[in-house]
Amino acid sequence: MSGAKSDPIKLTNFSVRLGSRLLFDIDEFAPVNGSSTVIIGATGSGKSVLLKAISGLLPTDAFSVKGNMELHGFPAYIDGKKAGFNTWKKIRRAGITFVPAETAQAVNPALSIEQNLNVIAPEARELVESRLNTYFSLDFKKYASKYPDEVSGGELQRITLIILLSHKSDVLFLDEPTVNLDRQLRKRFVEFLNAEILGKDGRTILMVSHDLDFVRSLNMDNIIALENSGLKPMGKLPETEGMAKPKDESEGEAGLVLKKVSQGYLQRSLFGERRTMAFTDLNVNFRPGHIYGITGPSGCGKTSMIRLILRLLDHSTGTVMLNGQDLIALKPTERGHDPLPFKPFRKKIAIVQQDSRFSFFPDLKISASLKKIHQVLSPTTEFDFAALKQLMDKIHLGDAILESYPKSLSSGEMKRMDIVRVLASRPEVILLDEPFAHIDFETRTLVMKAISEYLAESNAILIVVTHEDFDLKYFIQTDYDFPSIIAGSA
Amino acid sequence: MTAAILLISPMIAAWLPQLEKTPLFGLSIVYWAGLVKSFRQVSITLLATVAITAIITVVIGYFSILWWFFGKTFRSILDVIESIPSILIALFCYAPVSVMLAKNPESSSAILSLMVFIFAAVITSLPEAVRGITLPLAELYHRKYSVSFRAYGFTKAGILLILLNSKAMRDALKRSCAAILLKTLVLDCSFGFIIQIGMGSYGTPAHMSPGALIAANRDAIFTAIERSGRSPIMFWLPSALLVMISLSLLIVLSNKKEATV
Amino acid sequence: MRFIRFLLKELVFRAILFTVFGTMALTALYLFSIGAPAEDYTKAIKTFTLFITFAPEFSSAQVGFSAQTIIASGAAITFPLALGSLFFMTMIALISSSASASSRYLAGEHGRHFDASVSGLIGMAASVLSATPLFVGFWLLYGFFGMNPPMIFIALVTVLVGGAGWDASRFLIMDMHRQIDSTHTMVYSMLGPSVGRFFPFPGTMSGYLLNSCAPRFIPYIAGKVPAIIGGITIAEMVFSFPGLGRTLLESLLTRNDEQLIASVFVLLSVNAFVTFLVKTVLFVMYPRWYEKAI
Repeated sequence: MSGAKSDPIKLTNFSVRLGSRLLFDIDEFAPVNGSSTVIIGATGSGKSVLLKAISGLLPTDAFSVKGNMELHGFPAYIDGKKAGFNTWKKIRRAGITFVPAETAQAVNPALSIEQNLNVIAPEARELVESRLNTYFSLDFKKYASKYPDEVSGGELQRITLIILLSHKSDVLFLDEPTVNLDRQLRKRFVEFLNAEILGKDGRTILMVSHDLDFVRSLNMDNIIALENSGLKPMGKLPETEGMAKPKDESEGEAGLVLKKVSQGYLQRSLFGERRTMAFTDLNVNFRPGHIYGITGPSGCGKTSMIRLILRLLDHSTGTVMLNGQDLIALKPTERGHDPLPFKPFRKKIAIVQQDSRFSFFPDLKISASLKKIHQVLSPTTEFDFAALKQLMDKIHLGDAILESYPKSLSSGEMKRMDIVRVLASRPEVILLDEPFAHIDFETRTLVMKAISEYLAESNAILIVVTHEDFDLKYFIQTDYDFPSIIAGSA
Repeated sequence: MTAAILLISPMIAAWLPQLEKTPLFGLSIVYWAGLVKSFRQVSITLLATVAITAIITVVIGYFSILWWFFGKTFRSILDVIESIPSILIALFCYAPVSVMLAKNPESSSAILSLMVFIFAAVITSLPEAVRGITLPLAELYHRKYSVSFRAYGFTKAGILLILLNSKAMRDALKRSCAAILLKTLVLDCSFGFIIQIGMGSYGTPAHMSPGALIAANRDAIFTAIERSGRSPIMFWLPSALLVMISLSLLIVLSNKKEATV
Repeated sequence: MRFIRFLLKELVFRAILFTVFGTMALTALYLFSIGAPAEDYTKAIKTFTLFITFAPEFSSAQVGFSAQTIIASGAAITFPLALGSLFFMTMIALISSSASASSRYLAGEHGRHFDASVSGLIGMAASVLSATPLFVGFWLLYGFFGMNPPMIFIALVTVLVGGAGWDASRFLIMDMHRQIDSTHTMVYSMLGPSVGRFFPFPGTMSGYLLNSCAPRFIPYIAGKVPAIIGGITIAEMVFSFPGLGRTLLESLLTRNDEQLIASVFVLLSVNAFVTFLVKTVLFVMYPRWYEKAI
């Protein structure tokens, strides 16, 4: 660890461009040693790029850099040229921790949890055990010999976060730490950060986040906004502006009813396959014209429930009633095609997956994809591009998107286009699986308004799987914690 | 790709009309005709093997993902085939018919010999080729497109056809074909070499092979031209041409520009 | 318990049963292809039983031939050559993948394209070697050493030319390159490890990448054993040493069914045993990955 008393991070006339687009141009940035700083800004403003540039993780071929940077007193960038490998080796060995957004992927899948700990923070075994126990009620010894894919997503995130944050270092970088964190985990994480990290262990901390509610709950020393390509110190956090929650004017009976639903799956073992249950005895009703949120830790079965409703899974039991018909009885197994009695329901239920790239044909333009999809869903009618363009206008998607290929669109554009696709198909049940993860709050509000308008005119049912407090605060009308509803009835 | 095409040009050039009558490098017309003929026949072997294997591979790959039981059964069969050295499979296919081939007229023996060899080459290439198709296809279907496209109402069979036709799968098939060609070329030449050395008393193989030609002239690099009447170029020329062709296939296999989704 | 399951699956089921049924299947295929009468099939089963029980009645038309002779040629020649080639193939893959992965890492992180260019040139030279037919390589070895080259050179040439070493290198290189872009590699790089440019030593970046790829690389190596044994068969032809491949070819040509059964069985046994050894390495180092891989 470096004993330097100088500023651990110092940027002077430091700018980064992606092609011709200027991401940021910083005259001077030098957080005080031992302080905590958060950089806020809209999605796509360049916050993560700034963090990766400072930690030396920016690919040299895609980005052009100008200016100077010092880390731990070593010259990291000189006149835009990144210092050599040996200098950066010294910088990193002086003590840097980088906590990426996708914490569950921060551990090596080929190594056990314990082996990962021995690689990342060998000196911190006791600290990790104690922190996991105190803040997350997890016994590390139970997980030590397991591999990452043998542990549930939520547990893996907790363990990985603690391991990374327990690694001894002088400088700590956190990149969008709330992405993919469920609500329970977020709460405990905030408690842990405030109690043990922020201002407590002498580290200089630099965090980037778009989640203002999360940042508000932390004891940060400095708040800086990255806007108009520059850093602007903020005295206090701006208030989050969302929309007023849609009024719930729905009434009457439930449109979609799940009764005593259980979902099993086959788990491969040494001598064949063993049936295991994803969840049992799920009872829940969904009313038309209402917006439901499904929350819960990763791996608890939320996505399985979505696929069960779509009838894309085997080993489902119970009843799923829609329009008076039991979907499980109409289609008990998934054999790669739909029995005739079930076919009309394909048009009635629509999904927006987590990764929207896979909602469109890989090698066709968006418009051609939409036509082909429409041909299968409604073979007797023409696709209404006019109505589609109106929806696109509402959420600020230009017409040029229709003539683009999926791989040339950003994840935010892809997600919005997918949502437009669903609304244009006019289903009765809309299933959204983490739909807003790649959309900043401002654009998200537009999307939510468009969806609410559709619900109001069509009386459709909307079920949203989400972790985000913003969605729960400004959009979701009834929120179900999934582990609770499989234990009882709602 | 330009380099790959240039390197594979000897096989294309072998088909030029009258080439076998215009020897180069001071080589005898008998040797030169044999060299041209061997590269013609190896090109037939390669094209036939890759065409047959590619068709079978796509069919097996498609049905392996479509029907789980079919996939599991074929995977076991192909695992067993892959566990046996390819040269052994070729010998097992060829040796029983060797006596019959020696007794028949040259033209029908050549065709029969080619067919037997192509059969052996197809069998030995299938395991790797099928794996090269089923793994990316399974990834595309199960991990990426199945939920959305099944939710639209496309059948699994239809989705797989769409994916097989995608750029990603066409690139995978191209790489599989390059791997099949390389494996077949290696097998053809090794096989020709072994048959020439090992089966000398039973005559040369009924179809020409550059490997057999190299084996027949292997001593040319050690003995003086005046004594043997053979020049080292009789060993090095077909060897260099084989290296060129193999290199072109390796370039295709090494091409990192893959279609990703 | 897990070790017992491993032994049952790999040694009993895969190795022993595969070898026994494989021999019988190949022999049946051969008898069928030559149009042998029905009694030849029963005779083959009897011969096989005599062979694996080391019965003194087992013999061939050749004087001095016995079951022990066949097994000795397999054990003394083919097996050590196969192990040696496997070792060299692994070393070639480890060295080339370290060089390639570290070049790529340095190019991406620090814009050091010179290393990538050098690595590319070396890769091209390696490709030329791989494109060289195996028998040409052996024949050149014959040119230097005559009919008795050191076995170590035969083992090296088996994988250096002909594509086996290139295949294994390419597999590992591509896997390592994929791992370079992963989040966990990025996290590891923040610890400031050395690059490990020439060999994936523990504690280096290439050593870490190898650790990530090993659960896939080890089964891949196991799958290369038949190709290596095929290459050794060619060596036997060139250098006329009494290995299993040559014995097998002779038995095919002379229609010696007893010798055929014996050599096929021993060849498949060598194949199965070397594969078993490789899978044992996977089981010991990564037991959970072994269970996943099956």
